[in-house]
Amino acid sequence: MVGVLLLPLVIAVALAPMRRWRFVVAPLATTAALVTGISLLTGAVEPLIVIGRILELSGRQQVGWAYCSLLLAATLLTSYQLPQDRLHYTLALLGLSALIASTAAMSLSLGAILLLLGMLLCVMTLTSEAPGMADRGMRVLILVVVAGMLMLMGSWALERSLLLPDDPAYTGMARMTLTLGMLLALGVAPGTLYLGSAQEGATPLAIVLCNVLLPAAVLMRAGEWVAADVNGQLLGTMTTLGVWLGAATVVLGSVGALLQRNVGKMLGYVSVADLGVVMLGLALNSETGIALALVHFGIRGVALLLGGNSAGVLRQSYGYDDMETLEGALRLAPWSVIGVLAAGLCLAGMPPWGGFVTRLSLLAELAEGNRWMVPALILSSVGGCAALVRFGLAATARKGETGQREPTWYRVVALVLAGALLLTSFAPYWVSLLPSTWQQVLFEWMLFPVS
Amino acid sequence: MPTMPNISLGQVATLVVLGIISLALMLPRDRRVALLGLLGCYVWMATQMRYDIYRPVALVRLGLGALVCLMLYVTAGHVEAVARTEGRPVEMNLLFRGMAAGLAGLLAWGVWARFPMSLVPESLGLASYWLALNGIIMMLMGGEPLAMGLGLMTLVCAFEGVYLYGEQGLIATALIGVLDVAIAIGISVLAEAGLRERERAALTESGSA
Repeated sequence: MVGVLLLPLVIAVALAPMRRWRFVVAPLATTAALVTGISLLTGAVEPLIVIGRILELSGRQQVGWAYCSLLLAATLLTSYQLPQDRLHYTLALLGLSALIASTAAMSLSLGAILLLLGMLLCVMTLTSEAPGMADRGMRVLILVVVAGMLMLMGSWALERSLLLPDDPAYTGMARMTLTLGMLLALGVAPGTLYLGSAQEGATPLAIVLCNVLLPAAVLMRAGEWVAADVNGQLLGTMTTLGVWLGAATVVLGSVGALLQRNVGKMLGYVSVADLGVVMLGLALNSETGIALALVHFGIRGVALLLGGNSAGVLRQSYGYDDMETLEGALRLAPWSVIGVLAAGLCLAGMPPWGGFVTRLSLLAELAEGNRWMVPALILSSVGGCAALVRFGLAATARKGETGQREPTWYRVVALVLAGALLLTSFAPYWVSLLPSTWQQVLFEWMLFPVS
Repeated sequence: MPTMPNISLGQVATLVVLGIISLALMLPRDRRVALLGLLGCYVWMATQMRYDIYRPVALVRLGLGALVCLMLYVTAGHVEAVARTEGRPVEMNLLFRGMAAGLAGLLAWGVWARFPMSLVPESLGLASYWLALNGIIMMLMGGEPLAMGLGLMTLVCAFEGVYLYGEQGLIATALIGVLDVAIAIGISVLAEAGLRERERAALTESGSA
């Protein structure tokens, strides 16, 4: 545990003064994330005691964070050539360390404080040169801080409810504040509007941090709260609100995507809508629903890596990533256009990409209890698809060459990532080739204890 | 017939202090002056902390509040410098801001009378409601990132006052301090980004003219 927490922390601090030399900073940050991921995946992490507070990860949490660390390493590596503030490398590693610590903290209050700290570090990477970004970034910061305060208050109340089980006030307070805090932090409706629009001009690193690592940490922490709640009322509130607000997020995110003319914002809305699908799966609270939601979350991470990188390369080649600027982009940046389309369609749940398989299975599972909700959710995914079709039409329009040709290295990146998304669709059981720990996480309960 | 509530001398003192803090936060257009209000929040909350064993912790919290205000003061200086040359963003006038401060106070009193916090002293409960509502109104009225950020810091200060009364662990207190600094850094970064945006917009306008 010491190594897992300290390595990213120490490297992050060491990188801060060296940030002028990108050729040093990027490889070091990548190595730190990679080593953290591998050490989490390959061996049991010993518990750590700091001033009487225990930090310990369960096997499933270890695998969850190994996935996140490896995805972060892949993001750092593949976005090396793209322009970004080099202080973001430091923020990313600090965020990783804080978020892992938040999951590992046995104390509920300490876990909530560390989670808020990690969320703040992730959100700080959302700054970009896009117009109106400062105001939108501030709204996201406010959203995250309010969510964090609710979770902090809820954790404290949950701890008190364990000490005073006869006092219903603490239980009720914990139930409401933790549920609201979790949902706000995940960016459910109406927070979707802020999170989606804040991703205009965001770097791949910011996209992966805010859309994968941050929700992963919140969900893992939520698992701890549910496990600590002896009355079992928290799970009931979370699942009830989760279904409704998850569905609202899918609809709102899809409508938001439809209205966008900027690739970054469009992908932002599609990704937040897709998180609504994950929430629906978790809120079903069935073994299959949760397993499917986790697989979907994993595929979503790869799609976001591809989408973020592709949008970044388009911005680099054309200066900006709105649809007017990108008219005819297929000529000079074909693989970036394909990357955006592949990632977007996967996030919108369209065949033949991986997201389709898991989304369809989740909707089938959902249809058993909430039949009316399924057609609405299928219809709502049309929003994201329509926005992507519009982008595709703009990219294939006949127009003179106004940008720069995309770099050669990116073809390999786009091919590998898009291939992985296809593979998960055509061979969904490819995961069975991976080590048994993965299977355990993918097909068993990770967040909630098996009853 | 409705009657006036019985207000003790202690409550009057609390109301006066909160009113002054509230006006200092919401009335000035110069953010550097408004930061005095935020500093006032930290001072008031430090006096309300309950530390039976580690009394110096309240002093450390106060020092941290001063550090946060100092960080934001540097950013506020940049914001004011740009405001002098390029004009301020459109915002509510003095009368409206004064009325909003008064409304926040009345609302806080009403909420506190209806839902008193039984776990904390009366003065702390009232102060938390009052400052939290001030913060929320400042965030809603703020026309630029720093103004919204000041509202956020006020809300956070109010929340921490109540939270740290119940949770007195040293690690938790220390980490809450780190959080304060992290939020202040986030606000500064976004406020500076907002300034760069305005400068770019001004350059584009002058170029097109």
